[in-house]
Amino acid sequence: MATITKRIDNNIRELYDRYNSHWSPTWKADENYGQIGVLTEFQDSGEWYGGIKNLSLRFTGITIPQGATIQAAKITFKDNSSGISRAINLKIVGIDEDNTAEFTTSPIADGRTRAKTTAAVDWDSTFTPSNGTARDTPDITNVIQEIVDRAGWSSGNAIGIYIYDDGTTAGNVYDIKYYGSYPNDVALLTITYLEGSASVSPSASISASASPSASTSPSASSSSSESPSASPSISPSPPLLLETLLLVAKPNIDALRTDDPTKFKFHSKYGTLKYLSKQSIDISFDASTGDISAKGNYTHNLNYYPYVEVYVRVYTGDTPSGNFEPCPFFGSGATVTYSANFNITKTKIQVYGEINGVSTATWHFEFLVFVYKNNLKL
Amino acid sequence: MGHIFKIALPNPDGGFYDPFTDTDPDHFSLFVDSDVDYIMVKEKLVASQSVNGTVNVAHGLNYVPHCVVFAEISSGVWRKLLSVPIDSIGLWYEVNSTNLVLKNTTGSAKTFVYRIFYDNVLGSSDNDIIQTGYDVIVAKIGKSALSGDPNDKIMDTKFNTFKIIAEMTKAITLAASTNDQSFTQTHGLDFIPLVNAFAIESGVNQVFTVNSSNIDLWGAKLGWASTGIKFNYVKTDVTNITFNFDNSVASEKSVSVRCFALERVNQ
Repeated sequence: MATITKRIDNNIRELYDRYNSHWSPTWKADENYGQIGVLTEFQDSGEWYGGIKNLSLRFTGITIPQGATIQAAKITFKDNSSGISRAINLKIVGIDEDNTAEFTTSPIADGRTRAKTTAAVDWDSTFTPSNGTARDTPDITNVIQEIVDRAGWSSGNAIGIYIYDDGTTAGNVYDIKYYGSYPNDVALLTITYLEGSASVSPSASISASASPSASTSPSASSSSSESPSASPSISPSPPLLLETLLLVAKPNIDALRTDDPTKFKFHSKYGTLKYLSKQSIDISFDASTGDISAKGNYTHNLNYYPYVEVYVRVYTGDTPSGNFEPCPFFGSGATVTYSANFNITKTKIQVYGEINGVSTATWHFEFLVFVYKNNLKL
Repeated sequence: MGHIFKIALPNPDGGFYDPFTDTDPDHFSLFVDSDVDYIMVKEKLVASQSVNGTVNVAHGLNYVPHCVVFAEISSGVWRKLLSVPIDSIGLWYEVNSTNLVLKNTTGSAKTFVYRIFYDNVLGSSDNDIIQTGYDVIVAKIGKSALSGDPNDKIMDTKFNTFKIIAEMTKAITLAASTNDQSFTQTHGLDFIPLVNAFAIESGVNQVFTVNSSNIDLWGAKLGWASTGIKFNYVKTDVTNITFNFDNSVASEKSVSVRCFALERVNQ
């Protein structure tokens, strides 16, 4: 799953399409306007004002693969004023083009004049604006999906959105932050999507003769109490390639209603930490000989830097005692401070124990090293 | 490779990794073969606790388990805890075969969030958890999926496993002769993530981790010496992950930090 955001980055890509029945022509297109909705038409000093205010938006550089499954999409505006409650009734559609071209004001070429998606979303909202408040449109997943499903769509193309009046009562407008004065607060498009085909999913491969302990145990079935969305099926031969998701949600979570990976015990779209081994490394030195440190290692020979967690317990004498602590570790006694550390090479985990101070004891450093298969990629 | 069960991850270059040809376990959310047990972390419990002084949390496992602990050092800012910290912040944890021991010597209560994991990894245990409901279970080589011991399993969906929700590499340049240098990385998540981090210094072929110096010399009579670089701590908030270093060397140092966001920190 991936999420991209794109903010309007140019005046011309936020074009306000305005209608007044007394104008000729009746439509004008303006940048830097910052209002959507309907104002009652009125005349002042011979000029007509008010009318319908629609908005065309062009978001460029949308890096979503063709055919990707859109999971969520919205546009976030910010209030540009505070005031009384108002009700807007708008419709949100996409511009049904592979790569929407730049808008123009003369002649007007914007969302109103271009082909529109079949998918449409009502934005009917009653709210009290407060300057600076972020306000989301309803989810426009189906609008975005129709555009990226176009055969001619490709990653990096521009998406056009048209938001227009759909029955707003005159006198209700939404003042929004616009690019000319508020480039960092202007409309923001957020899209969450799955890569690959709209039918989804990672591939699961199952061996022709699956081990009973791996896959055919009666316990190996998807959970009904924990809302999995799919379970892999097993075929004796040949190897079976499935395209499915394996999701196991945490208690009281609907696996089909959330894409938050932290709501799942297992989510097959995300990597996992995989233990490789747990090693005990005991090192010691006799401080009465003048030694103050010891070193040990575990050879993993993975030829990369693996993910590692280490604990250590430090004691003197022959009997292990005390708690393990995460390593690196620092401690102190009456006359001695002691410390433990480790580092990771491409072939070994190297552990160190050391004291500072006056001691004639034999010091033991007992390390527990959890080595994971995961590559740190450093 | 004999019997396999692999669930591929998305390939950043498009599509998914090929389960028939790809043998890198890092490319799979689940990777099972008949030669090696790639055991997935199994979470026993996650809980939060206000700590001022010492708090013992009985884990009931009779062996030393792996634990992950974070503390809220200020409102909405969480720091990964290890042992007694080198910057003397006064927050750390210890563990034995009976308890997870949470420590706060600062004098003011802090919220600790801790996770305890089942994985003894090396062997089985006395755990006997009755399987109820339906789960997906993959047992270790030679073990039964019907075993009540989580340590006999590679994967058991009865238990939460850490998901690598995001991983990132940040290249930083440490100023010369300067301690307490902080660098932030936006994580882009809509929650505060639990993180772990590792660092590598340019020209030094080894990785070191949080709360440590980068050791490059050692002797039994002299102890160890470091390159002069210390990785003090890692902390997270709703927007950023912050890495803090010391550089006692009179020249700039280039360090790469690899960070993993594994879970929601306070869930």
